[in-house]
Amino acid sequence: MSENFEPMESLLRSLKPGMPNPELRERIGADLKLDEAWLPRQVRRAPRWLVATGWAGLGAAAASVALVFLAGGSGESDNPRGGGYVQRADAAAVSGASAVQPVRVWSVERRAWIDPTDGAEIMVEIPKGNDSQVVLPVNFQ
Amino acid sequence: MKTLSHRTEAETMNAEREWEQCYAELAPRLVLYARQLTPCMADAEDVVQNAFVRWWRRCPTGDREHVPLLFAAVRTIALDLRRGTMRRNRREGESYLAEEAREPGYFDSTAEQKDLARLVATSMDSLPEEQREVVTMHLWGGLTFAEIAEAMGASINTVAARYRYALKALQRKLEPMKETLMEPLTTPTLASVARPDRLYQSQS
Repeated sequence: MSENFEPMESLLRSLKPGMPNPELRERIGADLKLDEAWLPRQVRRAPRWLVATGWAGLGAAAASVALVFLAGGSGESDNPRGGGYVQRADAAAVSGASAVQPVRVWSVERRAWIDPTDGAEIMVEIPKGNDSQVVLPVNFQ
Repeated sequence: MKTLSHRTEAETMNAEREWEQCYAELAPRLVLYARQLTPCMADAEDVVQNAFVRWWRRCPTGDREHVPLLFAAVRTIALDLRRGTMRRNRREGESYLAEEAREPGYFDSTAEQKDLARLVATSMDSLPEEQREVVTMHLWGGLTFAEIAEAMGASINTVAARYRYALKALQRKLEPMKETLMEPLTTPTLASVARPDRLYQSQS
């Protein structure tokens, strides 16, 4: 490009674009306020003590499960309480009772709606299965 | 029912201040650009409103690297608006040319630059639309040729050529007043000299 446009560019750049109508700013502000999903959200974090307690609880639970398994694995003869459920099943079989036992199951369905615009949260808990009865084999218990 | 607000007052205030700062910086350039594609200021402002709101929702940080997107949005919305207007006019039997009568006054000129601003605006109007777009985006929008090419969906070479043709044409139109026009860059007393009527005398 052999042309030297620099003086012309400087001249044109010396002109500043006109300011728009002040109403435009208000209109844009109103539009942005209509849906504030663009606003930065603060991420909610659980308190530190809760996290630590949670991990400690998990560890304790794992330890107790391991202890139960170890105790059960040491043999029925060594542990007098080891085969408790086997004894109960045997007792049921001996007494001639039915091999199945009715079990009543309750459950709760929890539904949550979160409005992304302002973070409002609605939570509903619906109790389910109050009337339904499920029959489970004793072995499953 | 439980309502949780995860946002503090200060954060909302900050976010609002951010868009206002960004708007103050970009709005004049955007309106100037939109004016190249729309017949009147009201349409240009509508276009800028839509484009800015859309853009800010997607890029609420207002980063410099996202500005070309904003210009692209202005372009798309302006062209859509124009297509709609043309369709409506055709349906209603009106001439689009009637709406095409463009309002002058693109620049916020000081008293000294008033004549220059008017002359540049008139000269710009005589350019083809694509050239006006490139000149506006490059000179006043601060976009590079690569960014303009992306916004317009054209090649960089095409954009550079359009810019070159446009500046040549503007140079030809402003040539008669070149000496007096160049003065404002060095001396503040241009207004007393750069009177278009006087300059046109020398042209004839």
